[in-house]
Amino acid sequence: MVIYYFTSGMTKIKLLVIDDAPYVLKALRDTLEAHGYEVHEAVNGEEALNRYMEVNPDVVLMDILMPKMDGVSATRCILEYDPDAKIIILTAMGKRGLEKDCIGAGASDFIMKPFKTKDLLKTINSLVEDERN
Amino acid sequence: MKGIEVLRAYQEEIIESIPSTIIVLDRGLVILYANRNYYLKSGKKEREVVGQRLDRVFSRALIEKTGIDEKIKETFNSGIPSSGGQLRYSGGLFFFYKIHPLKEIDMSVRRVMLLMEDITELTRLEEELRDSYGKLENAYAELKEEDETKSNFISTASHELRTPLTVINSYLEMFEDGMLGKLKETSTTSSLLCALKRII
Repeated sequence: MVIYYFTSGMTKIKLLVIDDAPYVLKALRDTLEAHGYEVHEAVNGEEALNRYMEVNPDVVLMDILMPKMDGVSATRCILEYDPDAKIIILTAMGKRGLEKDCIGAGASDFIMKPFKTKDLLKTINSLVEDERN
Repeated sequence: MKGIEVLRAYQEEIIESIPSTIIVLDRGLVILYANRNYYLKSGKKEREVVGQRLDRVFSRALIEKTGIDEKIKETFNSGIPSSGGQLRYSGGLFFFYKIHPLKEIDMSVRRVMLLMEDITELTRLEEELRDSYGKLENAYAELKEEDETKSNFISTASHELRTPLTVINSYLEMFEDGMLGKLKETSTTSSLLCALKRII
C-alpha cells in the first residue's frame, strides 16, 4: 500500500529524521521518500535543534539513544524553541517508564521499533492533519 | 506493734514478689537491703551484700564505667529520681536501672532504692533483630543491583536486536508493496520472507 499525502494544492510533508545509526537513517529516508515525503536528517540531539531551525519540518522523528545529546533532551530543546513542534519518538529501547518520560518531555507520540510503516505514516499524517486544520 | 509488724511483713512480701532487683543504700553508699531476686541473679549471699559498700559488691570497673555511684549521690542531693541507665555484667547480663529517693517524713533523703530490670533477653533479641535487619538490607541491596544489571542487559540486548530489525522490516514492506521492483518468487525468497516476518 502506497500512501501519497500530497495532492494538487498541497505541499509535500517535510520530515526531520534524527538518528545516530546511518543504516537506520538510510532505511527511513528510502521508505519515507518512496511514500512521497521530503526527508531531512540529523545524526544526534545536538545537531537536531540547528537542523530544525534550518528546515522547519512538519514532523520530527526522533531516536533516543544518541551521542552528545539524547532524544528526550533534544525534544525539550526543540519544544523550547517551537512549542508547537510535532515530535514522534522512534526507539528500540524497552525501558520501563520511557514512554511516560518522552510524553512528559512534550513528545507528540511514541513508537517502538520495529514498527509497521503504515502505522508510522498514519501517525505522521494524523499530526499534520491536526496542525493544518 | 503487732499491727506494724504485720504491715512490715506484708510490705516485705510485696517487695520480694517483685521480679525486679531492689537494693537500698544509705548516703555512705552502704547496702542496707537487697531483695531475694538480687541474690538469685547475683549468686551472692546476704552476708556478702548487706552492710557492705557498693564498691565492694559491684565491680570497680562497672562503677567507673557507668558512674552509678555519682548518680546515686546526685539522687541523694537532689531528691529527684534519676533517669536511669544500663549495667552490663560479665556473663552477658544486661540490666536497666533507676534510682529512687526514699523520703522521710521531713522530706529529707537518707536512703535510696536502686531498682534494676533484667533486660538480657530483650537486649539479645534486639541484637539479633539488628543483625537480621542488617543482613536483609545487604541482601536487598545485592538483589536490587542484580535486578538493575539484568534490566540494563535486557534493555541493551533488546535495543541491539530491534534496531536492525527495523531496517529489515522497512525494506521488506517496500518489497511487498512493489516499491523496490518485483521480487522473483522462489522457494528461497519465500523462506526468507517467512523467516523475516516471523522475527518481526
